[in-house]
Amino acid sequence: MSETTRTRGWRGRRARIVSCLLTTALLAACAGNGPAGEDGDGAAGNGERPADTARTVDPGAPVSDEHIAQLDVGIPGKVTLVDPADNMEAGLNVNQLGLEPLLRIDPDGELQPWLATEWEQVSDTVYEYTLREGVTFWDGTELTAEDVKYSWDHLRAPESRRATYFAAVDTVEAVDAGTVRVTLTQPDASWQYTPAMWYSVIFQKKFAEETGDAFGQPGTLLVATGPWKFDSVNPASGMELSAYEGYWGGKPPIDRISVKSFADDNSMALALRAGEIDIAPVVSGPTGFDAAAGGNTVTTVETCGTARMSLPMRRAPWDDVHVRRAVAHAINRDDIVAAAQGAAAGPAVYAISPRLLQTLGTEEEVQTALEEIETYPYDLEAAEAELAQSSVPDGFDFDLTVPPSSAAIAEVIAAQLGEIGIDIAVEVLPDTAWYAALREDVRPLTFSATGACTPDPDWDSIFFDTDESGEPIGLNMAQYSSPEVSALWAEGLLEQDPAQRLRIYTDLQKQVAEDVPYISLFAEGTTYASTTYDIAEYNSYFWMNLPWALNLVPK
Amino acid sequence: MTEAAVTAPRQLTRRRMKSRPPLLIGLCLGFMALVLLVAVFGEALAPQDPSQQDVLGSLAPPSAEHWLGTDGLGRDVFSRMLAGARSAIMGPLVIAVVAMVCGNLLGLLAGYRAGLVDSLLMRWVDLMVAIPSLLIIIVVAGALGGGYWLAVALLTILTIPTDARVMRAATLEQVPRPYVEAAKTLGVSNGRIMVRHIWPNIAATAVANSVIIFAGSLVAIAGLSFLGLGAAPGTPDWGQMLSENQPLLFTNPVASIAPGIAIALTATAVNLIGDWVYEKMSRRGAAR
Repeated sequence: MSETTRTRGWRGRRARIVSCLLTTALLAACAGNGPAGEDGDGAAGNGERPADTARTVDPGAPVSDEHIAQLDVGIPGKVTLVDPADNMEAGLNVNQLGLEPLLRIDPDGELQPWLATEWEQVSDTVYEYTLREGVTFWDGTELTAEDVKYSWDHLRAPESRRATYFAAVDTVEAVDAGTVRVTLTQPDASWQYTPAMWYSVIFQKKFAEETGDAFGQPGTLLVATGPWKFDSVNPASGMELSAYEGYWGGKPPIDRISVKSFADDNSMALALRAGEIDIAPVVSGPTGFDAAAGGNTVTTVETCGTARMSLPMRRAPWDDVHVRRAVAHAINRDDIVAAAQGAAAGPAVYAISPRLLQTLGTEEEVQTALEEIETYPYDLEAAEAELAQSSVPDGFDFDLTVPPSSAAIAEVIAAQLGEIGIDIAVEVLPDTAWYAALREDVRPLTFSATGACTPDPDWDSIFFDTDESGEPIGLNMAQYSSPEVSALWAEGLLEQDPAQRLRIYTDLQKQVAEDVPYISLFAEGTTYASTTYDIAEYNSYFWMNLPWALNLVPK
Repeated sequence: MTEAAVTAPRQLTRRRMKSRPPLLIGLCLGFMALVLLVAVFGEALAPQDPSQQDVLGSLAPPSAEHWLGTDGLGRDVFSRMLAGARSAIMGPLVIAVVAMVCGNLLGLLAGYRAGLVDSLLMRWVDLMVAIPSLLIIIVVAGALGGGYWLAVALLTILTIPTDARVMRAATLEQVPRPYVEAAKTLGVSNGRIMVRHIWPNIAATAVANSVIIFAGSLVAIAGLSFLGLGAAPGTPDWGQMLSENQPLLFTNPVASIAPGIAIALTATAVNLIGDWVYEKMSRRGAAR
């Protein structure tokens, strides 16, 4: 691996680390709240739900023809600003109602047009995007390549929170009014998805230049191309939006959108029950929320995120592979999924979510590849046999360190490991202390969530990061260092052929399964709640990349 | 038969009735006896293992098998209530006793010796009382990772000054009295005057204050456990259960309400008993 590759790898992953930590907190919060869904996937039924259906309408068009005069949206947390380079989790879900990316990721992980109608990989490092004609900003002026260049340069500026998502970018050029060219510093197979993500949205250059430092602040806001204009932001209470009549996709189906901020799930659920809000696009504790909201309100879908337990391989007795394998066999994922109380979409057994492999081959090809990987099914006898071969055949004591919201799952894990003589004490740290513990030289035994991701398998590499000398860094919580695995991650990023990439990631997972630095526990779910509407194509985390209110369908 | 002979049994009966606790206090005493019994034998009395998880059978409503239903991890809430009585009583008891011993000694010393000793002790007390106790405990316990006995220790340290101030005031009231002067004149040592002469006369205040401290500590420890700074996760503890089961309010309300009721009833019972004991001891002191 070249030095530049490694440098890019680390810089490019820092933002994902932040994203993962934030999402971990959010998802961990799910784990502690509310009862378990019977079927482990929230409101999932046997039939196809709107959330699982793909958009079949033209880009920019609403999925339903129904006209809605007023939509009241509840979100957890406050919207303090709308600058996409600087806003935080709470604001992301509503920012997307007004700000749009160039492309869209469909439920199969394939790229589809949005503000760009065509895109082309000119060479290993050069990509070109052709902008849709007739797209106008809220003040009626036309979208140009200069606006895209300005937006992406703003988002990748050093002071931007999104800068590291663009770490692979060397230059962004406006070739002509309708063509944008991106040149990467080196081949990066995961870049293709960046223009379709929520952190790559486009706004007007002119307005941003005029407003300077006040850009995106509550009193200034911004100008973009989305179906709903930002009328006002009140950091204390929420946000008001109204339809942009000149939207390129046609007149938006909703006249006004009011976004209300809530301190927690319970108050949001009670507001839904009282009819004060129509929909909550993000719910952290699905089953508890559903019970508080009166039932039949939540829909959960599986995401590409994986909640995993990390085993600190540089601490005894976790440095013994037999101990790690014993623990892998002793974990009963069904119980953990139930304890996650609606936040888990199902058990997970692989180091890389299978959803991240779906763009690399057919379902059959991916399945065939996954069958090569050892998955350590729940088997107490096998666990005891592995432990008997280890340095601690009679078991041992250890702390499982988690943030407060993850205590319930930690207790289940502790009880399960107790079955084979491993006495786990659950140590609950405040969120900030837990984040700090993840960065200490002596890493804790813990578990965490992946969070929002692109459909590229390289997303999961953040848990395997090493520096040039092979030392674990970043979110490599297991302190796992394997030259073979590091080389395979790098190879996977540089390789452009999907079939070859599938082979690389299969080999990588086989090696990881042999070493067991992590134990995947469950596939993370994402949940919305409403008694009135469904959200079509609420698949994985990709729903939050687009103006999702275009996908509303009446129940 | 003389009139005196006729009225004597009535007076006796009236006196006996007066010495009996009122019905409410009787109920409180009965309730506290039950709580103490459960605190001692709770785990043995529990119909099921309070820590046994049955995740797939979680959130069961109250039934013959689970009187108060099950929590989010399928544990029997009634059994956890019984097992939790121990941590509910133990910590506050330790705090009340230690605070009483230390606070009484410091209060007696400050009130009796006066002068520099009084000034030094009371300035320290002023400083400690000025500190927002619960906030300090939350910060310190949070920084040190929390824990039941850490919470107990911090509460004890922060409670002693309050008790000392109350006992100093009670001592100051006693010092000018003739019996203290007489003892001094007879050459009785200062220590003996404080412990054997003054303290019995302020014992009612001491006991009543300790009971109030017990009740306050019960609620404070439950609050800290609720915030995750008290009992360890998974421990059957009323405050912890209140926190863990809070999200179950709409699925198994009994599981989330029962620990709260237990905390409120225990604190109320202790306070009422404390008032009654104070009145009784004060009346006896006055009669003497």
